[in-house]
Amino acid sequence: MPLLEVDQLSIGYDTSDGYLSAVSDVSFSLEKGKSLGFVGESGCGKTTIGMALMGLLPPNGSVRSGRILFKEENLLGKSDEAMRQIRWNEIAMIFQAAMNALNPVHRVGDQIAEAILAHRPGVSKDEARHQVKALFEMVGIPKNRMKDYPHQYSGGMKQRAIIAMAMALRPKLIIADEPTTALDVIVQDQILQEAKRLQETLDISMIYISHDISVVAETCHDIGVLYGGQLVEYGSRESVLESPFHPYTKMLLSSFLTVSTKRADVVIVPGDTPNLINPLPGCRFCERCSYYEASCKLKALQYVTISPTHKVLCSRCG
Amino acid sequence: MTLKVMMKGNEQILRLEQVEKIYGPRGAFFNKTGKDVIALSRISFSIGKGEIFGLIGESGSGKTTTGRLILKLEEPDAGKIFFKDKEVATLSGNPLKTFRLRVQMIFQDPYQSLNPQFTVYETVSEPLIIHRLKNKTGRDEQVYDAMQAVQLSPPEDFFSRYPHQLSGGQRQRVAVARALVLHPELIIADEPTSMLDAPISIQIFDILLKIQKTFNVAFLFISHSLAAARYLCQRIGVIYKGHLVELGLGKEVIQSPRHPYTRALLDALPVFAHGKMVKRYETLLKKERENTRAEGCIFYKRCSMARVPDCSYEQPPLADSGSGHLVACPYT
Amino acid sequence: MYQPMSGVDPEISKSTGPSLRHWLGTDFMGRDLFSQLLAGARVAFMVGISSAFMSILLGTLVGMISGYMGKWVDTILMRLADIIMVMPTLLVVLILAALFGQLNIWSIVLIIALFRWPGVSRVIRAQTLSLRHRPFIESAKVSGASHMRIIFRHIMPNVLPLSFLYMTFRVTAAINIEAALAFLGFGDPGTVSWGMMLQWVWKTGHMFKAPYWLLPPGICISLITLSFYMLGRAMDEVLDPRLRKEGERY
Repeated sequence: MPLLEVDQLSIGYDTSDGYLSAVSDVSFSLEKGKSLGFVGESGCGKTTIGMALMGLLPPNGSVRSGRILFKEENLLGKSDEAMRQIRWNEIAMIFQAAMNALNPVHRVGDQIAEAILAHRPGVSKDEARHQVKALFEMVGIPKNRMKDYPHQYSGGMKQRAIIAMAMALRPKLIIADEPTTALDVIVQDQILQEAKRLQETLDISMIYISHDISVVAETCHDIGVLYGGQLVEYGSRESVLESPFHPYTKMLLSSFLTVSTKRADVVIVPGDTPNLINPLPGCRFCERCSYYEASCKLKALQYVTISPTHKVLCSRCG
Repeated sequence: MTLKVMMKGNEQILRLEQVEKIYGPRGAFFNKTGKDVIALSRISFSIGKGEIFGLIGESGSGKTTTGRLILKLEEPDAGKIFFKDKEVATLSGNPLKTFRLRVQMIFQDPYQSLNPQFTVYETVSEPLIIHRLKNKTGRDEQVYDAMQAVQLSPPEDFFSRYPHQLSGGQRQRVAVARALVLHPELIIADEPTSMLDAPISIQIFDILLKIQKTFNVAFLFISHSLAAARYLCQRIGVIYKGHLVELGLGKEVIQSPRHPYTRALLDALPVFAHGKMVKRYETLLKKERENTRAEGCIFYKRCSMARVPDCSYEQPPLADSGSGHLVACPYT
Repeated sequence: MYQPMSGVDPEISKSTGPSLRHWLGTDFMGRDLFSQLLAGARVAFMVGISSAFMSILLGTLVGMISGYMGKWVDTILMRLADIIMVMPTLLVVLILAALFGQLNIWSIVLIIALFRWPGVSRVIRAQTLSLRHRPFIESAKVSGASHMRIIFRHIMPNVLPLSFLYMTFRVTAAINIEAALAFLGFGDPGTVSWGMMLQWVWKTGHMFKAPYWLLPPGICISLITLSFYMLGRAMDEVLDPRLRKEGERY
């Protein structure tokens, strides 16, 4: 049984301009100990999915339809109190720019100990401190830095501390939203390798959310490509990266430059991401797509199965 | 300093000679040791007419400071900067205004680099007004052409819009149009796409390449991305903690990197970014080396190839390792 | 309508209560109180707004120049601001009045303005400092803009909303100072203002005898202060959303 199963999830926001459809009919699943990466541009809905899994949608956001089954229970039906129990204990999240979430006036070690004490009332202060020491060792921060303040940490160390905090209660699932943005390339590499190693040794399931395909390509077993709130392609990493089917996936992949990219390889598609206020049914990418046909805009889309581990949301490119 | 790395006898428009910049201590809170922070040390390179030169480094490497010094937003503490053989530091009055006509900048943050109270037309036409070029009709034409060149089409639709009505990519195009409207000879592009998503980045790169071709503008492309540098630039300079550690043709620096730091950067590129290359140089130490001396090679603490204690004595100068590929390391 | 100062009702020669003829009654000389109140309103607005306008003009200019230029210009201007800010406005004006005899209304306006600009300048300076290093300002420098152009074309429009906000606060301050001055007997004898009315009530011993005379000016001063304050609060709300940062990925 997969640890997490999401079925036809649709989420929107009430804005002053109208109803913004952020996520449309997204379905995916995640096994224990595996990792899934969501990749897409700003506004594609990937962060919204992460927030919905945690039950942390802002007041103007609401789930319109769908189910989120975590350990076979629908999270969407749960009360606030029940969700509070699950949050951090079972599902933890590393937010965007999380390193700025560290309280500057408290020592780092204390902040993590606080998180442990808040969720495990039976644990003593010494126990908590002991656990923090173990966590620091796990994420690679020298133990003598426990008593330091956040401003004394480098960017990479802060991010490790955030990872330690997320792991503190041994959750089954960690959602990492843009975990390495704002870090230098070398540090980014180190953090991602660490995260991969931790995930494997502790058998934690992870969902990575990123606008950078290389983050997801480095760490995830499965990849989901989001565009305009729709999951346009979903499959194993190898399958999606090596044989992408959706025109948007192809364009997205080619826009991540590698040191050996030739100018001729790059597919430049003019235009911008779509306006999601009261969108039409049908494909959101169609206006920029070379396979465009009138029916693409209006017809509700079906997934085409390329292989048991690879599906595409497009009627024209199967 | 050998200039053999110029493009086929191309005219040189920018030259930096041994440029240094030091920031003084700002008090115990910011700088515990109370020592000066060396932002740039003995930086020398040149850019030819119409060439795209990449200055690649991580945060804190001094790459942005280099751009600011060239634009005279700050002054160097030592060394000289020459634009078309005239020393930039001595410019004032009319020659300075002419300089400002010829050298322009694109900033990193498209959300902050446009005045929120100005319309797109006002932003792009302002440089023309400052330099009193052309009358209103002439200005309209120039602005129109600049907007076409950055693919904001049709231009009239964008004239009266405000920055908050535009997307990040559109704002950055407006910034490029503003830089372009004076027909400069050199544009400093400081991380022009690091706040934009990849597909939009590519659109901007495409525009920069077209501008280079059409208007024969040279670019100093400042970035942390070796892949982007490889895509855009003829030559690349790698900068680490204020020192230029490698300089050469883009192809060579990427495919046969000499300096251990450049190799470490290439190693750190995610598997995906390597594309077809999967060499691992392993030049980075897992744990930093102790060095009690203040001098020594800037990369000594993290270099797995360093000779102890030889490399801790002085920073090696940038030297030609053959055919114009410069490296600041005598052992590779 | 009677001339507030000289329009004496020939039939009345003392303070009387409200009647159909005189809606608020008359003062001790038989002059109509309602017209005095209206005339006072004019004065209040005039004094308030011109004084506020002048002090904002001065404060904004000083703040922008101080914040943008920095170094010794900044130090000198801000020390000057500190000195003036610390001085008790009312006291100084009283001293000046004592020295120069009765002041006319425009001198009062000017003096209030000259003493009230430092507060604004500090705020504008802070805002200028935060704008000074923004990329769009540096971009203007790179394009070759002169300092004057940058200050007036780039910084000022971004700083004016704050100036207007502070102007509403200054209006209430100016009105209150003028009222205080008039009440204490240092106002312009040729103009009727609410403070002046209060002075007459007091001086002629009618304070506890004629509530119809005492209350209206006092209430009006409070009301005008309240309305400008609320105007300022409303402007604050309008300005706030624009100050919000954009650019977060979601």
